[in-house]
Amino acid sequence: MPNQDSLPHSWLYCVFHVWITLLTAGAALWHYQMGQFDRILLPAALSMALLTATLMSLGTPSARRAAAIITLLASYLLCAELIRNGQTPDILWLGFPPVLTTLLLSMRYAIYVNLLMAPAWLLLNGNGPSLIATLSYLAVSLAGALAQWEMMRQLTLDKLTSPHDPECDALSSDMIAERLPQEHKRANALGRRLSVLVIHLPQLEMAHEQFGARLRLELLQRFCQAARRSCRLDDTLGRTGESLLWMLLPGTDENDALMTRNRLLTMLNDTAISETGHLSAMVVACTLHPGESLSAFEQRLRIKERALVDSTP
Amino acid sequence: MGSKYKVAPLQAAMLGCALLLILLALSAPTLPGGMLLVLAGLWLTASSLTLKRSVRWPSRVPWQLLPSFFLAGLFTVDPQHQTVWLWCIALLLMLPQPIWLMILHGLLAGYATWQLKADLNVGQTLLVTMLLVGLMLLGLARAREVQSAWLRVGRRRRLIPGAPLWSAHQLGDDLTREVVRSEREGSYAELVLLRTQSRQFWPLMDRLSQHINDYEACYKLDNRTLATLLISSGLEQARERRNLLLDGMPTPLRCRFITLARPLTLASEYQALRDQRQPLVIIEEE
Repeated sequence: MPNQDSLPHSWLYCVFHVWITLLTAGAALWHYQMGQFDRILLPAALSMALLTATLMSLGTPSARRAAAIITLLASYLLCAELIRNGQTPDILWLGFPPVLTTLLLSMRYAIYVNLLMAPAWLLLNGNGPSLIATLSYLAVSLAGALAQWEMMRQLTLDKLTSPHDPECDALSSDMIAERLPQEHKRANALGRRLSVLVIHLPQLEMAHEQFGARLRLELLQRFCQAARRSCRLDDTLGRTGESLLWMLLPGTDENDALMTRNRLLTMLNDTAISETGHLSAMVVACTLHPGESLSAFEQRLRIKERALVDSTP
Repeated sequence: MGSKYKVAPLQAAMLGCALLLILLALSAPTLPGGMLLVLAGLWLTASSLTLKRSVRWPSRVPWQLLPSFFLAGLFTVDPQHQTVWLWCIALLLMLPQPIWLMILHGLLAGYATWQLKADLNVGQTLLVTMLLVGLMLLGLARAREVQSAWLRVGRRRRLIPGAPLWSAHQLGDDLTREVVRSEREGSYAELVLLRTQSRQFWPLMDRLSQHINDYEACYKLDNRTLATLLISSGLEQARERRNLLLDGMPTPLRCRFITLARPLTLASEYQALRDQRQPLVIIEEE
């Protein structure tokens, strides 16, 4: 999964590929101008490979990953050539490969690749690695890993601190899993009833297969709007699965829960979407029995969920 | 629950990096460069040790500024030997950060290559600059992945992962919901505002969270003021809970208990708490 997310689909990414291709082609021309004919071949050949990578970076996610690997390898070769032939201080070029690896690969792969390549970069200048070079290389690699780690920490923090589902106006599954015990406890402490509507949206999967992700998202969001309109302010809608939602109805007995269910279904019937007609949902009401434990109640809800999913043709 | 908020591996990596920096400092060819590396190592050590708690402090000045100062310092005092750090400017751009900081990092990159220019010929300077620009573009592309998450974290509603501490914004929502709900349910709900000194805030928060039920939550209004909504079955129980709560609270404390049965707004009650002279004000249903 992190591998999947490691390559952003952003125009900047394509610009980078174009940039590095132009740079390599430019290096070949530069050598030509300077009369260093023996050094032309490598950048000229690699600029062809990089051109391919640039075109691939416009494509699907897997093509983009392949493009990243091609670019990485080509840059490695160019950098190795610079270290072998250049008159630049080697220590300058030692920092380039680990940073590029970090920027192109996901954290785990970047660490592995950087460590595996360490001997190659350190021995390339021909006269054994100095202590400073070794330490510098390791420090830059680790600093790159830290930067990626910080990015991941922000993503985790975001996930753990936002109560809402990223896709629709409902609570996230973690949050609703936290809310059910709270409502259960409150119902017991104050002696109130608690009902839950278990909701399954069978159209979501079909919409995704036939019309793509956009329609699926629209269905989900339209459903949440309809659900908000058919419930009270203090009822809680939360997502428990890909096409499953719960609506917690505090202080509601079985009859009222069934009324809410009917109101919801009527509301959905009036919601038209051009591709699929009206929205459809399968809804079951579940009321907490007096004295029922949380785990028993939750299990009952899960069984209802499974029954709804299984009953979908 | 999916992934929990774990920081131990990151802490270890930060300490490892700090160790490397200090080793590098010991073998640094010049003294000022070595001093800067030691400082950077110490900063990493300090921030790894406070990483767990740092989520409590909302950061107004982005910490990303510090590593850029270190880099600028290195290229000022010892551009000859610290060239390897040039590429790390691209890593800095990978971190989520405000726009002005991105511009600053762009300037830093220009300054660093200018400092390096003395040791390189024209072609090499050009090549290094262009490569750095390429890497910085890539860094920006990576930063876009987390930029929106980072912005959301900055104005998050749940302040600490896993703890029942929420923002004032959330209290605004919960308050309207609870007014409707307690009236329908027939329970007795009251808004509690507690104001103390800022260094007493976290002890107060600990005490408060011991006294509330699972279905109640704490809210941070500012770094001196905590709020909660107490929900009891009736006035009698509410009084009992109030006494229990006030028992043994840290002393410089101003409290305000307001029933939700009367019309109220959070802003006016918050202002009333700040103006309040007495340590305790209780407004019950008449």
